[in-house]
Amino acid sequence: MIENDNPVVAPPGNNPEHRDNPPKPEQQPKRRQASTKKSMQVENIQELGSTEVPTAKTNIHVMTIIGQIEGHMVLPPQNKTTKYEHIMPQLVAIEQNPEIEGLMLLLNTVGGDVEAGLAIAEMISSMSKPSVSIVLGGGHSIGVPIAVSATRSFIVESASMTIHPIRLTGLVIGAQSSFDYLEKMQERVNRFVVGHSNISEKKWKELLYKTGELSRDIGTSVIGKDAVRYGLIDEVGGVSQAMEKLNELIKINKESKKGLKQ
Amino acid sequence: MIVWTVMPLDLVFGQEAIPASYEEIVYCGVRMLVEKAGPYESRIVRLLSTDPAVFLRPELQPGRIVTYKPY
Repeated sequence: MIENDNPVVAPPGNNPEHRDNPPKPEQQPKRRQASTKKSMQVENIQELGSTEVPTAKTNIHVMTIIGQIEGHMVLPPQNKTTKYEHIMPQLVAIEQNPEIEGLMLLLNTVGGDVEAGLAIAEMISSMSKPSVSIVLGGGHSIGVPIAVSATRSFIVESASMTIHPIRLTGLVIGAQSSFDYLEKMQERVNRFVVGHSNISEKKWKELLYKTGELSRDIGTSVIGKDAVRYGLIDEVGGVSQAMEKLNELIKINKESKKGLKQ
Repeated sequence: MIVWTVMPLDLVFGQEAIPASYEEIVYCGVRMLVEKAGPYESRIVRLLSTDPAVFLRPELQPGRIVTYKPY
């Protein structure tokens, strides 16, 4: 038997133009087996709506807070939205499931509904399981409370967070009461952010009402390291740092639970 | 939203998009956003799961067509 160790020239018998030398049918039955397996899988899906797929078990779950935070109004379909009716039950499931030990939040949001955002932030901060958040790209407006709600928050160096007061557009009936309501709403956000990060109330308000930073608007755009310097975010880092921290937090959480049992 | 691209803006935002008919379904035990692709067929748009392992499942990759039988 001639051994062919030339990587360029195919071994004899593989040329499909040589009819008298058909390719060896070694691969054929294997492939057919795979396809019948696949069709069985498809049938399983069609008949039972489920399939046995080997999946890697993970002890952490990931939640993406992307696009707009959708509130009580359903936004038109061209908007990419994070809906609280998705997020809230998932958070409850994560809190309840004993196999899940930690949560990672990925933020790239432009903001959105204040109350929906605060609701998500409160849910995350009141969880007993450790969580880390990473601000990627942008975590603007109501994304700020969500970012600080995690046990430990991270921001990548290029990400930015726009801090500005809550605003109202459109027809306002009863200016005084609307103004009071808006101020109270702002106060809720302020209290949450100051309470869940290392930023002082004075500094937060200074960033919030700063003029000259954003053209023709008040507020500040805080980028990467600056967010950490102001104490808004805990650390500059990406996915590996966040994952490392989360594992560390999970370990601490487990040990403290063990201590309680004894 | 800020767009930074070499593509002309009228190509990016182009013609009025046909309003997509998205639907939320549970398929293989995973909640997902799908777009109608034909009778009893839908294209996966987005997975609405928090389980990172779900995103690695080849049969659930966005863009995949899922078929289902009517009840």
